[in-house]
Amino acid sequence: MSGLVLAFAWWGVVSLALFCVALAERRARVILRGDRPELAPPRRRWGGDPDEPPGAYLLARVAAAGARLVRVGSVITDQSQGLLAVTRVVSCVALASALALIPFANHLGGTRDGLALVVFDLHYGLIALVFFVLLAGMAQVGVGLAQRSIWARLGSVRVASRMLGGIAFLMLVLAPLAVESGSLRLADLVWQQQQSFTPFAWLAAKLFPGFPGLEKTLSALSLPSWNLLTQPITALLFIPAMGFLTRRPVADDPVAGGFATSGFGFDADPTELYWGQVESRIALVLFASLFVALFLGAGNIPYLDSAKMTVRLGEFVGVVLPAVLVAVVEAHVFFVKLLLVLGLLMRIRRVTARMREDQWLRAVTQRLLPIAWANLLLVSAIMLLSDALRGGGT
Amino acid sequence: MAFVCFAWCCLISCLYRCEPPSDRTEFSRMVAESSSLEISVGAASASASAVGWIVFVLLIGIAVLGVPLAAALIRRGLPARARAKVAVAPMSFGSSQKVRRSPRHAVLLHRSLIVTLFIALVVFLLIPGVLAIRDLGVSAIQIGLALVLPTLLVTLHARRRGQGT
Repeated sequence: MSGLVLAFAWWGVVSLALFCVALAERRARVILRGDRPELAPPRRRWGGDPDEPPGAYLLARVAAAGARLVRVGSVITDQSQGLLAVTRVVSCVALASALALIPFANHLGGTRDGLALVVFDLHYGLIALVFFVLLAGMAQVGVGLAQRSIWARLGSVRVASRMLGGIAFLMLVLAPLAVESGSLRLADLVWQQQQSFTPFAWLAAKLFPGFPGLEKTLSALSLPSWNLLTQPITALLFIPAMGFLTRRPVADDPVAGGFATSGFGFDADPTELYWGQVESRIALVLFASLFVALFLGAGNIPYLDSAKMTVRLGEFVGVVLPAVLVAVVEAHVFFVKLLLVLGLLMRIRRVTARMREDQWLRAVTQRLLPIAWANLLLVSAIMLLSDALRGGGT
Repeated sequence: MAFVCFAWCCLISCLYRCEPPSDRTEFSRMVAESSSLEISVGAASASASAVGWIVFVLLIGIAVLGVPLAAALIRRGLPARARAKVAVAPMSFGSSQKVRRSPRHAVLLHRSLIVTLFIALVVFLLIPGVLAIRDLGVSAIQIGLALVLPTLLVTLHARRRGQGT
């Protein structure tokens, strides 16, 4: 029963996020720059013509988009329609399955014994997550293989290289999180971020035992134990890693006057374009949700202990209701964080240059992968060192 | 220089965060004392309930499929001539030497594919390594070296022999 409730709740959050992404993309397409009016997209000037409804009328825009889907489609000769359909389905199912692994709030009641608020809770969630992302990437390769032209085949080889390099990079980026938490379960990674920590306090106590004032001063500086603060290098590396895997190529769209998602099989077919856009948006929401869950403590509110809140409320109304209320509040906090991260990511995508596939691959294999290795080794070494200093090491 | 800065950043970011975990057993005690508990808070282990996963994937699928299915339904109402698909030639970039870039272009693409495949394989071996380091501590590094060093020695020896012949 709890699985069904969690599935519906998480689906609501994801659907709202997808809707917000679609709205933001549309707004980005029709945005008017005051300083460069000559760059205004054609859609901005539309109006009066039934085929070109004004951009301000949402209903007219929806009807026009529906008409594009309904009207005559195109079929590329020598293209395997069956393989194309299978790859589209596999891609969406893999991305949805990866989304199902993400915890959107702390454990019920704020204790580790509580029910993990995640649709699909696995002991090896991180490995399953990598597998699903890899599956979605390989589905992109399959879309290219559905066409039998040499250009599509070469493009598939390039996309396959990108996906394999990206998966290796992602695993190296996620490994320090597993090292620190000692678990591959995503709910454990979220649980670990619910506490707070005091920077350098343990080190000051070991190195300067004769200065209790220093330790007290450092103890007063308490920060939420989010991985963004405890492992900032890992958080910074996670952004290009997921961007490498989820960023889809774009092409100039003369009709809309902007850039649209491109890829294999989009030749003048609005249905294929729809699937490409949907897949791209789900991938973006997956990217942002993962960032919130792994680095921003999921639904955690800084300096507010959900376990204490539940206990205090529980003295008046019992145990269950406060735990559920806190979970609902944390789900809302997760959604707000998700929107902020989505906005930030979309802004980054707009202001950064779009690198070619070979440039991406070279940057990942020659620059980012060694940095990720170094980050992993340093985190592992310092975890062992800190354990030894605290007397818990081997 | 950049690597040194990065190493210092890593060192500082890792050093400043160690804190013993706080005790959060109060809620557990209340749960244990409560006789009217209706929610499942029993096991700390993962519950791999496939029902929620299937329902979630189905919901996403329905939401995604809704638009093209509705379009297909409306399209079925159109006359057969109007809904016939237009055949389009696959995208091509010509066959001139400039477009082909280089005859080795395809070879280079496949070479990078093989390279990334090997990188991914090496990283896949990382997961058991990470778990071993976590469970065994420093001794895992010793065991790892005992496994890796002979392999490395044999590989280097074979490489030298290969160059000589």
